[in-house]
Amino acid sequence: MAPKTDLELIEDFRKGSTEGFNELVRRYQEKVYWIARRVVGTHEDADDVVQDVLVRVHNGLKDFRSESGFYTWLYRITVNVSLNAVRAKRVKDFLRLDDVEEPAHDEDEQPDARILKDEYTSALEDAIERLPTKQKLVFMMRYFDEIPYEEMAKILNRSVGGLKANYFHALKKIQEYVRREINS
Amino acid sequence: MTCTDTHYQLPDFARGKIAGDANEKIIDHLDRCPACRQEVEQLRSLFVQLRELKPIAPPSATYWAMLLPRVHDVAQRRQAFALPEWIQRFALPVAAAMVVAIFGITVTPFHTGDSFGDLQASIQQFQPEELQDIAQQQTIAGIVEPLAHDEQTVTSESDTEVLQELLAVEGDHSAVTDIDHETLLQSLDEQSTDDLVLILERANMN
Repeated sequence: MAPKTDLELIEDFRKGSTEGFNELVRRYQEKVYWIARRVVGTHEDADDVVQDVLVRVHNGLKDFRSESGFYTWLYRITVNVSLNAVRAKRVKDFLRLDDVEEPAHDEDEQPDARILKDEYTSALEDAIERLPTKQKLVFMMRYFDEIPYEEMAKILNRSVGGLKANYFHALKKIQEYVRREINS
Repeated sequence: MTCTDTHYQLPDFARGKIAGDANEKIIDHLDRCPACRQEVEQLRSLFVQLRELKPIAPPSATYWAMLLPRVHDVAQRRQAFALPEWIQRFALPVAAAMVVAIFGITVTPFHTGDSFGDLQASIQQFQPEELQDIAQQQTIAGIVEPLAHDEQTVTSESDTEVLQELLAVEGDHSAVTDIDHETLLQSLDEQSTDDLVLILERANMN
């Protein structure tokens, strides 16, 4: 039997079947996690975002209108919740540490391992981390997830031309940063 | 095809993501344009380096197994504590109206003083491209939206446009005729103005 479509699962959920929602979560949970993880940086923050997104989906699914497609809707919620999490984290960090903002690092990572990291890879990671949040999001959606520009335009409510420009400039910023770090 | 037409397509071209006629047109252009050829080489080299990024460790199977029950639990708790729909629909506008009324009665007109200077100084540090990025941040829009609706002279269609207009103060803010910035800023309480300054400063540190 062919697997049910997203819309069929949503319909099942609206009729009272929890399994409809569960299947949607199983289908998309990893995608939601990786979007969040790449935007917010750490597993703990990504976990908060994932939980918040899925709860919002659970409680908002009966009002979902199918014209944009479930995945686009889900992606948009994930992006918004992730950006809010980044903003909240910045304010928190600012209040706690008002001079230098450290880029997010995986807390499981040992300090020695970080020191030993290849200089180039490390510079690349830093460069991505330092991109303005929206530009980082565009870079990640296009580079890692390879989402078509038309789909990104729907999710982010921006023009295709603007997104292409943003992606290009993100790459140039990464390139420049790495060049500067390696030469210094 | 010109460099302008080609430029923003080069990242996808360098990754082999463009096919057919569009691909042929770019190749034709590259045959004639050393600068774009060099750009493609640099982008290809960057993509090779990006492939070397170490993958982030994924969460354990236990994490995924625990996720759904946790989501159901939190969703049920939120629903249990949610206010009835009619209250949700009317509570926010009523609360906003009360805040505006109290604000109008109690706040003196010159309270923003230094904050306006701070805000201008913060704004002037941004490039137009960065302003666009900031304008599209939902958090900023959240601050500017009430501001836009309070100020009668602002009739822009979207938060983004309102913020972009508000932020169009590079150099001479008096050049923007349809927004009175001082009046606009005086309609913010000190905390909101400070929040806006803070966010702009933080965005500037990116």
